[in-house]
Formats: sequence, structure tokens, C-alpha cells
Amino acid sequence: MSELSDKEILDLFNSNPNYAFNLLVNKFQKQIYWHVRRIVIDHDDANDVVQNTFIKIWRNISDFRNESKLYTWIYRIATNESITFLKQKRSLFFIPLINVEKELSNKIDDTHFFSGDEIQKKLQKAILCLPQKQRIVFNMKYYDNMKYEDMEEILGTSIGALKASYHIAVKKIEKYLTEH
Amino acid sequence: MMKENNINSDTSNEIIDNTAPLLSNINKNNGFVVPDRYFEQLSSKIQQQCVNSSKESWIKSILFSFAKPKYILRYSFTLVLLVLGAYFLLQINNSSTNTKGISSYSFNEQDTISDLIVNEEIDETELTDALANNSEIELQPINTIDNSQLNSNDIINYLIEDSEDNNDYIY
Repeated sequence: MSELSDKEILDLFNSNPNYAFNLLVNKFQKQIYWHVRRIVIDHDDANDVVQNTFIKIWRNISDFRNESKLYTWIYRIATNESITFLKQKRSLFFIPLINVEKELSNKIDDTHFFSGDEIQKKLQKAILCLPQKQRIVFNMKYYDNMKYEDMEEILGTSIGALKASYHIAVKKIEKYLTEH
Repeated sequence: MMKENNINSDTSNEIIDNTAPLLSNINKNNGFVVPDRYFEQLSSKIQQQCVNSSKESWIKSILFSFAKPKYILRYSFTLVLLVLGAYFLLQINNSSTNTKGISSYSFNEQDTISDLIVNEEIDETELTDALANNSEIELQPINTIDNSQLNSNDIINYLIEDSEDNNDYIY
């Protein structure tokens, strides 16, 4: 069976919401998981965030208006859930921002979490050195090759600012890779 | 349109190739580990979570809707109004009870005075002595005798006793 378009899935929500939601989960689960995983790093955390994201989608799908694309709406929910999760982690353990990033960086050294080669490990550590929003912008552009227009919808940041942010992130990462 | 084309053509690869040679040589596979068959089970897990959450959500939404700040303000405002209303009602009740009490009290007092006048035996000599001693008080003639109860003989006798001329009186 060929994959249904976003519009067809949305139309199905009127007649058979459970089936439509099943299709939506199957269509977006991998993309959303990897997007979240790159932000929160830990698999279990990513699993929780992804589940929360889809629960939110299920609850609010009736409020979705076709003003934006379905996938940008889903990405926005996932991004916000990931940011909220990291915020809660900081406030829960009273740890400053820099220590959370350090903790995430340590997880990359754990072979249970990461199986990439040394240069990939170094790249992940370089990405973790970026400020949170810059990190998200870099991941979306570098790994997902997302259009700036879609990123603008998801992050609510202008295209110019996103381009600048990505350029700066690339330079910082290159510098990190050169120095380490 | 031109601008849009420029944006779309501004891919991550072009930027990286131009500005970051080290980064451009790295494989884009992110290297994170995922448990076996994770994505096969994720879909059913999410579905289950959604079913459970929708069962809980309507109860939670009702409970938590009452705990929203805007509702808390409304409740506290209503509560303050109720307390003030109850206070003023009590005040009104108390004041009406007091008015009743005063009226009933004054009535009782009048009763008691009249009782005193009627029931107590006041010696007439004591009253005349008291009045005579108090020179400031002028005695006013008070006609307390009911004329209808007097017959003409009584009046004549009275006038004879006091050496009054009965011609002065008109019947």
C-alpha cells in the first residue's frame, strides 16, 4: 500500500480517527524520533519525548488548521517537547546548562548509546558545544536537510536568522574538529 | 521567486563544502544506537498510550481546569463576595434584632413604670411634703376629677365647705 499524503491522512481523521492516527504515527515516527534523539541524546528520554509528542498530536489534531504543513506542525510539537524536557531536567536536578550538555556529551562515550566511529563521536560532541537553538538549527539542516521556510515555521525564527545561525554553527564545529 | 530559489539552493552541503572541509568528509549517519525492533513496537506503544491518555484526559481536564489561575482568581473573588455577603446579612439581622430588643425593652420599661404607679402605694403626704419643700416647683391645678361622676349635691357641699359662692358656677 502506497503511503498516504498528509491531506489524505487528515481527511481520514473525520471518518476513522484511530486508523488515521495509526497511519500518521507510522509515517512520522522515525523522523520525529531522530529529531528528538539528536536533541536529548539519551534513547529512553527520546522515547518518552516521542510518546508525549504523539499523545499531544492525538489530543490536538482536531485543532490543526491547514495554515501550516502537517509535518512542520508535528516537528514544532516535537521540538517544543524536547526543549521542555531538557528544561525540566535542568530544573529538576538544579544543574546549570553547561553541566547538562556535559552529561549529554558523556553519554556519547557510552557504547550502549553510540556506535559511530571516532570522527562521528567528535562531531556529536562538537554539536553539543553549540547553544541549544543553534544546535537544533544545525541538526535540522545538516541531518534532515530541511528547507529554511519549513524551519521558519517550526522554530518561529526568520530565514535570515536561521541562515546566519547555521553558518555560525558550521564554523564553530569546523573549529572544534580542527582543535580536537 | 528569485529569492526563494536562492534559499532553496542554499543547501547545507554547499555551505559545508565551501566553509568546512573537515565536516564535509564526515559520514552523515549519526551513530546513535536504537534497540532492536524498536520502531516496530513504537507505533503500538504510542497507540496504547493515546488510548490510556484519552481515558484519563477528560477526568484530568475537568480537575485541572478548575486549578487554572484564571479560575482560581474567579473562585477566590466569588468566595470573597460570598463572605462579604454573609457578613452583611448577619449585620442586617443583628441590627433588626437589636431594634426589636430596644422596642420590646422600652415597652417593658413603660409597663414597669405604669406597674409602679398603679401597684405601689405612694403616700399622698410624702408627695405634698416633697412638693412643699421644693419651692421652685409651682403647683398647677389639675382637674383630675371626672365631672360626670359628680352630682350637684356633692359640688354644693364642697363649695359650702370652702366658702365659695355657688353663683360663680354655671351648670
